[in-house]
Amino acid sequence: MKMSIIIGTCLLLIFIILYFRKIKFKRRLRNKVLQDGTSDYKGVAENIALSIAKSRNLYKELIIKAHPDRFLDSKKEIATELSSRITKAKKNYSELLHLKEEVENFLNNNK
Amino acid sequence: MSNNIFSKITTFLNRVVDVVSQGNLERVKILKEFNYVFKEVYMQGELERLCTVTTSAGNPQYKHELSTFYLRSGFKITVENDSNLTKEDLIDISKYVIESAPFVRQLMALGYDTLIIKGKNSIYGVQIPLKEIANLQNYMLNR
Repeated sequence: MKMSIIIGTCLLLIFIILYFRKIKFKRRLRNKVLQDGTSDYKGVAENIALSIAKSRNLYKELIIKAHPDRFLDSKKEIATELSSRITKAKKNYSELLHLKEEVENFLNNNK
Repeated sequence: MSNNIFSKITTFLNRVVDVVSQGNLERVKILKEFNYVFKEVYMQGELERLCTVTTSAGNPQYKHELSTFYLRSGFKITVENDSNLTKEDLIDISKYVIESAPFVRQLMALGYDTLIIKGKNSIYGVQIPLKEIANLQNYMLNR
């Protein structure tokens, strides 16, 4: 009888220790991920909302302006690289805005 | 009117549970900011459809290391004016949300495991497992 109580208590203790270790691990992991991320949720939300609203048109505008077939030689290479970045950022409005500046600089230098 | 009061009470209780279960205000903050921004952009006429964000039941099959209890593990975006809304539109909206892997990872850290996009009056919706978009493997290896 005594033996079974001791074994039961030990098992319970092990279970409790493992449970708290799991909670501690989860908390540490969560804090680590949250520290690496942004706390500017407003900025993220704005980017998502504006991407839904505007990124499609901006993408079309930029991909036409930077289409590699419009350029020759070394300019064509730069245009190819720009086009692939534009396609990659197709659904990210803030990224497309950065690319818009680059495309405009590129076009100005090309004149 | 009664629906409105009911939804306000539900939102309040959800927030209390979020604060108690997570020990911080991050989940409340993220929902508040998203709802505020979506409303602002809609009011300015830039967005055609008004979206609201809430916590809802997630899919237990999409559970990951940091998932919270499945009844509170869904990050749900509801399209309020959902006339003529097709499944393709819902998938399209979801693509804008999962575009940023760091943000998805943050949602996972806050206990969410399922992204749900749904029209307010439509039966069908889209469910996306967040663990397929971003993973926590690197963080677990470097602990």
